[in-house]
Amino acid sequence: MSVETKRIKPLLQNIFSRPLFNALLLSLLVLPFTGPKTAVLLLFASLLLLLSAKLSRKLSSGFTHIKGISSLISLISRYRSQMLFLLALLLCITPVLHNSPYTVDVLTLCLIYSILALGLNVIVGMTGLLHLGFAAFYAIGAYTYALFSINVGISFWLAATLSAIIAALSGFILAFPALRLKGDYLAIVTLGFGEILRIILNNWKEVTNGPNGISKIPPPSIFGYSLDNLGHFFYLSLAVAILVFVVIGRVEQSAIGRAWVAIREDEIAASSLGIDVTRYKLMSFAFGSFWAGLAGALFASKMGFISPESFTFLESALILCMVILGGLGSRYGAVAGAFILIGIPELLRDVQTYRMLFLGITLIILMLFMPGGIGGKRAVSVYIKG
Amino acid sequence: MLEIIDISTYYGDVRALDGLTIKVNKGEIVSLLGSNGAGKTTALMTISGVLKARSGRVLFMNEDITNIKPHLIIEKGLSHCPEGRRIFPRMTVAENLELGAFRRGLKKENLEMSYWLFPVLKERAKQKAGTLSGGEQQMLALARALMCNPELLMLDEPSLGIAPMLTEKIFDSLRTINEKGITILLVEQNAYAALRLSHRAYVIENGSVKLQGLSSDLLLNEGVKNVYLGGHRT
Repeated sequence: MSVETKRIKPLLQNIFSRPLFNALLLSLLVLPFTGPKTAVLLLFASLLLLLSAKLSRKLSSGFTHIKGISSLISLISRYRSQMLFLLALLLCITPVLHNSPYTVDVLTLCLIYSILALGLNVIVGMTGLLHLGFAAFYAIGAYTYALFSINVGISFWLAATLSAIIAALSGFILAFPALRLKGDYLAIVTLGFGEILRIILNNWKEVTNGPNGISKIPPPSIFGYSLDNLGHFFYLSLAVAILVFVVIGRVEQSAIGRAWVAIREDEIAASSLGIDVTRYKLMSFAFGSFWAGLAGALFASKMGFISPESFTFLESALILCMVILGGLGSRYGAVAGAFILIGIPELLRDVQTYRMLFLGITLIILMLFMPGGIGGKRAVSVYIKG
Repeated sequence: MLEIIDISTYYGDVRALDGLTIKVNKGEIVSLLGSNGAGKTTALMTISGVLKARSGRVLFMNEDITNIKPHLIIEKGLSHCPEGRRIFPRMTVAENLELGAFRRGLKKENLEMSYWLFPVLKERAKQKAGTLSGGEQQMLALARALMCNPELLMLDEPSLGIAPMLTEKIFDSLRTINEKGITILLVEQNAYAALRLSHRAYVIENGSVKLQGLSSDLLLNEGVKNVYLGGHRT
């Protein structure tokens, strides 16, 4: 580190101590949706939430005799990431009430990417396998949905399930040869797979209609009632995203999730405890890809049109960025990452040409101040008994 | 209980084990001694199925377990505590222990036994394992290997990088574990401590047994004294 950065970094940290910075960021994100009043309110709310960890340490020593307050403070500080998540969820719903089609559309996209990030988080974050071709499974889901709903005419629910299953199967098939490799080599193979699939989609004209893509994909429907309205689709995506979030959470808590994390932490130790490493890696690949397939089906039915262009390497990299930005292994983080990486470029539409520059700067700053990601689990060096 | 008959294991073209033959009886503590690269760790890895033997047989409780997969071997009651602790640093102590019971199911009495052996683990059950001291991590690794309620426990260098005082504590607990009826196969650099603990010992050189006998005899053996015990020791 040069002298210059040495001097500047602590200075910045003093001015923008992390909680303040986070709160500012969050309220800036919300500003265009909710107007200045709510944003300021949110600034204070989130600041209080984020500072609660520090506050609780100071306050609980002063309030130990009043049990209610100190336990409330420790409760808030323990669940602060969850509370932030709830705040984000609330924000999702407000624009629909405001009935602005543009924000609804962007937020729907955020939700679809949340599902993708949650899926990739299983593979990269929980199991620790670097995967650079995730968009391929997204594509498989989208194309499966499009082809089946157009050519066979099956309903949205059946087609979406089929998309997810076929994506999971292809994840399983890719994993077979790929899991002989580790680390960077695995990343290269998955990257290759993503490219191969995109090229197949581009060239297999009889089935995929090549670069022209598939159009007139029917929208989803419930009990014969077509969900072609943006607002309805938003709620459908929200429901699916919450479902995915909960299901992945349950699996994370199960023996399977524990085994995945064990493999990420130490493969040799995991196998010495009787975890069949290959089998659990295969499961992780298939399970993660399953959700990509589902997201693909949602995407295809939302857009009504898909082409190979939507599933390039850039897409894989974007999803990976969401997972890393959110903090590897954190579900809340993956969702936050999706909202930030989709939301920020939209918020920056006003500055047109410079918006990617601002996005880049935001990402660099985020990584500087939160190297473990937003929801990243920092290694706790001292544990305070509460 | 465990019989290794004429095992040979290779790393590529390099031969690490050359017709190794070892026998461990029920209730014993047996130690494997030898200098660096003699093949002690390789022997344990071959028994637990991580490495494949090119020839020879491994029998565990009269059942052939040669070259079957590691997770199946653990189910039979053979637990391997690998070299260098290898705990999961970002998981809590309790989660580490739960993972130890991954194959054979979590049983309360096993957890209580672990906590009874190492009370410090109970105190720190909710703490991240990476925040423990080296000695405590070794205790955790040991307790984790015991969570599957094994018949035979294989330990690889439990004293590696640990303060002498804690080493003694760990060796004491090994004796307690053995008194509970668990057979122990121990690989150890600290030959003196290992010989004092174990009933019998094998000295391995270049992948085969060079010397074997009762530990008390080997402690007095001039050759062993000079090579592994550093001449004289108080």
